[in-house]
Amino acid sequence: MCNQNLVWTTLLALLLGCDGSRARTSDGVADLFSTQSTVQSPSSIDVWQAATESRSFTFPDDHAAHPDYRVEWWYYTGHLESEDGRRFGYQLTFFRTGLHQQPKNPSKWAVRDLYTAHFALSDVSNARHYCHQRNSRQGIGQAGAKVDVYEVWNGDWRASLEQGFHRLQAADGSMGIDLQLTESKPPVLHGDGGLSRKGPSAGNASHYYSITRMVTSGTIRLGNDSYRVTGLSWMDHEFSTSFLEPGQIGWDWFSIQLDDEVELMVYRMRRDDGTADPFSSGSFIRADGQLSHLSKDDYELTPVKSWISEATGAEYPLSWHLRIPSLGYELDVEPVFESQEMMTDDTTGISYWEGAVDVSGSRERTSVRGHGYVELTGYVGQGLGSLFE
Amino acid sequence: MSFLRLFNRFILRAMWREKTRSIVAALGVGLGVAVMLAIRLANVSVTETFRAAVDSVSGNASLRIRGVAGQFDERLFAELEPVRRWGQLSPVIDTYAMVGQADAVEDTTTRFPRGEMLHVLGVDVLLDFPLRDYRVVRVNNSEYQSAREALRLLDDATSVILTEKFLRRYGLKVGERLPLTFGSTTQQFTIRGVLLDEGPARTLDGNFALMDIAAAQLAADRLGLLHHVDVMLPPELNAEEVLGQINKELPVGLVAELPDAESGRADTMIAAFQFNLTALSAVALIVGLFLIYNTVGMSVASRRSEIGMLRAVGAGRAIIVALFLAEALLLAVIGLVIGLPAGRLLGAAAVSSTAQTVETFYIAEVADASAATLRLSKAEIVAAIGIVVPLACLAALIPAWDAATVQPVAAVRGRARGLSRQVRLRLAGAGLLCLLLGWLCTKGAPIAGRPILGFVAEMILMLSGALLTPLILWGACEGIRKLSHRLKSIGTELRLAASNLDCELPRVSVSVAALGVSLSMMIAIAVMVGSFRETVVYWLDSSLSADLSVKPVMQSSSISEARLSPAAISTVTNDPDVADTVWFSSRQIPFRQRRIRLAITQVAKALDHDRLIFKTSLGSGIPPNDLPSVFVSESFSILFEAPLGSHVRLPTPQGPTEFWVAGVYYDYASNQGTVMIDESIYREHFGRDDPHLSAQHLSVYLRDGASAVQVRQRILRRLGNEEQVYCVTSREVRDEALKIFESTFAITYALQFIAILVAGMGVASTLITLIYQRQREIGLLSLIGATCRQVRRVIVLEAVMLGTVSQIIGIFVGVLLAVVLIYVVNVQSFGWTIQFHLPIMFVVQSTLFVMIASCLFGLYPAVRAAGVDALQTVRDENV
Repeated sequence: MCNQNLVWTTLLALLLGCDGSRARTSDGVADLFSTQSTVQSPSSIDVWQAATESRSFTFPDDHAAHPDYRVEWWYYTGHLESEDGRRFGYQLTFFRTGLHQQPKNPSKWAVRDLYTAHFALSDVSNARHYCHQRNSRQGIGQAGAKVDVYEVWNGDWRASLEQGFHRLQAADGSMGIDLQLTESKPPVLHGDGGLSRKGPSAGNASHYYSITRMVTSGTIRLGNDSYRVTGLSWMDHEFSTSFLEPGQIGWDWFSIQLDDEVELMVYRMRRDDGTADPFSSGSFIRADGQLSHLSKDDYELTPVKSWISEATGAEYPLSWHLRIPSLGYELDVEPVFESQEMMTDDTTGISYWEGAVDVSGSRERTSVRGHGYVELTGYVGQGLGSLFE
Repeated sequence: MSFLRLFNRFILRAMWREKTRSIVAALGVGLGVAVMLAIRLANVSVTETFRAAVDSVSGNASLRIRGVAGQFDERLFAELEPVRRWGQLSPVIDTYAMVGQADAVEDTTTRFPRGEMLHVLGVDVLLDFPLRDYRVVRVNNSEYQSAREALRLLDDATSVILTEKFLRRYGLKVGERLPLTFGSTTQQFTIRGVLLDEGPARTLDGNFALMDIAAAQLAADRLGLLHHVDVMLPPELNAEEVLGQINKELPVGLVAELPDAESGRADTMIAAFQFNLTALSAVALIVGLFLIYNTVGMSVASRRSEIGMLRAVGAGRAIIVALFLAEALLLAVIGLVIGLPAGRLLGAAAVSSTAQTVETFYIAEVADASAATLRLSKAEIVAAIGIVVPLACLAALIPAWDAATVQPVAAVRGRARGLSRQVRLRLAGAGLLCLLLGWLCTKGAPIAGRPILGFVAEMILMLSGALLTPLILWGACEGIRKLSHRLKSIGTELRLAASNLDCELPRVSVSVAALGVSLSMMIAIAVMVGSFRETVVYWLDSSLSADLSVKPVMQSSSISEARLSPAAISTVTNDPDVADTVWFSSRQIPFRQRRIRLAITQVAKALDHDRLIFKTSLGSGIPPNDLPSVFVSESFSILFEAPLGSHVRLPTPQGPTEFWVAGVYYDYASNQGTVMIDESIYREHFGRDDPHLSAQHLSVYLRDGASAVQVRQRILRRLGNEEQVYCVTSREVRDEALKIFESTFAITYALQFIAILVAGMGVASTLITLIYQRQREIGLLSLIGATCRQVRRVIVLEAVMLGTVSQIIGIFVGVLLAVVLIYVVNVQSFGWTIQFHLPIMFVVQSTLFVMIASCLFGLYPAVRAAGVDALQTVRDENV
């Protein structure tokens, strides 16, 4: 679900017209900003569809874009290993953020949707993290998400459905991936039949499904070297129109694939008063693909050890203990290495930690191991909540 | 005696004694240096400012992709996929907007500036920031700022980011609104941010605005089009090396080039104008050098006896030459000291007055910005020294050598007098030879596109004038001597004056030649400009057949591509008193190494209304091989050797296409070279990258009896405040055109005035020297009964005679120079036919002016001469 970094959230918040304070300007030109804002926030006449009740999903059609909703993303992470045993983690995410359903400007460059994409590689063996991002408009086909078939792209980064498997292509500078992902389990619908509620008000929810186990093969390029890799991936697809509430400052999100063929997804919404938001929840996917919903009280997430980023000064809790008494799980979550912080100053100025983790522990005294991805947001800079004040 | 002591006693003291003459000579050199430097600075500065504007706007772009005919269909952008692997692509809309309302009544209630041009760049704000050196200052909490601004720019098509400089100049603030006019429609835009004074924001004195590409397309009426795509290559790639390969991968209709190719094309356009200006400025310098020659010559002449004594006591020739060269050097150095700072000041003035001319190619802000940044670089100073010092030495070498070769005994005895018959014959031969040589030079073709041989011919003609000067002066003296017998009242004085000049012929000739050459330049320019003006007036009168002319206010420079809005067009065409309209549109297209103007009109209608005046007739009018036909302007025809009936290959979006030249017409509005085609042909061949062709300019023909002024009032009233158009009568067009014409040539007049001033000083200084030398004669005159008044009269008569002879030489050489300017230089650099026209009134007036001025220039030496103590000087001589 809210595996997402803050790009769209920020943009959304800005669109909603939160004006913030004008107190801080820089570079000695403060006097050039009028104290009384005459800039009106765009009065939105757009009517975006809200996620209010569960919908019937059909696949693969629902992999494609849902442009009636304001925000949508396609998110892939995975753990891969080369033939000679070199380990990699990857993340490739495509975001679509609607600005105007019908832009007034007839120019092809007028922006209906803003397309953002993030691409990161974790070179586990060398503890090196690489990330790139793109912000594009549709323009003359520079970015887009098709409605009839599953194909979403941002420049030459692309996710699409080819002959039954998902194909991911991305390359930037010295790194690149070209992967084929096969669905080993059918998509699971989170929350109430795919309707994942994020807050108390109606419509503050998203349509959200995951494919939690995808057998993956392909190539990774890093520098001048190319590796044939295999492994497991996880896909999320979520679309909605609004779902962040004031007072929520960030979230800690976990996706875990265990070697007993089960998967776990849990997240904790953090409020500005330090408590976990009641709408935090999770899903447990059995080996046969059956899903059990986990409510806030079904699991305990305890931070164990923190790491301070040199680049941003943020303190992230990177080691966690996850306990799910009803299922008998006691799990320790450890990052494959610490510095997997995503720094996105040049697009949003927001940084967060998103990285590959190793999982070990037990299920009712049987030891289990696995891999996962963790996303930790709202640890640096101003909390998200202020955007809504 | 050491050289320095000798120099001090022999030269410095003499210079000090003859302060006036020395100051005049140094001032003359100084003025020459100043004028030359001013023109050079002005030229360099305008070119560099233009270059800087182009460079900083292209930012870090390594390459630029454009349509072969300029703008192109944005759909081609999708076909640039193969180029993406080379580097990042950034599409650009490159246009201009006018702030406020150009001709509205000054409104004191707003602070908005009026009628200023902004260079507007429309870019994909999501992509473009790394490409150019922008620094946008954000409004809000730093973490969310850039996304926020990007969004506002994306979200609202009337968003614009302005420079810090511009905002401060007009007291504007972020968040306020500003009226901008792109085509003919004025719209309110919101200032969304500040561009710090870096990168592109520095160009054009801050008159720069940034918009999102979608907003810019809409505002500038360029929906569906792109002006160019900038390519940013990674640092390890060399742009020039990959250029060829990228060009192979481009779709038909697109071409990649280095970013400075554009400024190169602009350079070529301004170059002809600048070259002419530089050549003219050289004249001022030459006059200054004449003065050095003159001064040193006088210095030598007035001290022949001392030189003789020096030689008699054993001074070598080298010492004598060195002494006088050192004098020239000193004068040159003083001249440089005066001339360098004066040149800097004069340069700023010159830039401002060339603004109008530059505007034809770019916008006036370039000139303004360059005037503000004008500075004296080391290179300029070194160049000035490098030119002036050797030339000054060269100018002084002849008199210095003359001094060195003086036989000691002859020198002590007295001066050489008059011109021998042999010298006269030699001078006549040399002068005639120069005339012949000059005539031969006019037959030469342009070198590297510039009329270099034409200017060589001008120089040779001036030289021939200088060579013939002693002869003419001698003839004049002889004539006046004969004439003086018949004049009772001032006969004696005339005869004396003529005899005096005749005796000093070699020296006086130098001054007269300098003045004569300066005057000849003035007369040449006057004749050329006068002829040009007559031609343009004739052309304006014949081609301005329309009653009213309507264009957007933005259409103020010939490269502007602003168009009339559909509302404006329909208001005009639907007016009950409008019988017919002919519309006209144009765009800049790259052609060979230049940019030309492609003009689109309704050819049949335009011919009906006699809008075109043809140089060569339409002939049979049936193009061979069914080629599409075009009309070309005279300058295009000459520049690109495209006479009637020839074929030209123009770049079109479909690739190069052959067109048939069906006619060559006169066009004095632009020397850029224009190809005029019918709208149907344009749509067929260029429509792909200009789908929304519409009028930039409407020529309006009224019904019989309708009043142009009333129709204009009605049209303007109906258009209201939103539509910013110029609606002018043909009379006003004519006046405006002539006004521009005059201001274009203002600088040439200023230049000539300075040259004449310099030459006038030369005459004055010559006379002063002559009087100094003739103190003994003047003393004798007084002794034998001449009154002070008579002495004064003789001197003034001499001055007037010198001035008149100079003017006669000036007219004679000037007309020849004008002929070369009109038929050689002008044709080769601008490609215009000018009908020769002699402005008689100007010639008469200038002659009177020169005579009065020389009379005034003679007064000072005359008063001085009359004050000579006769006894004292005669006594001194006999000691």
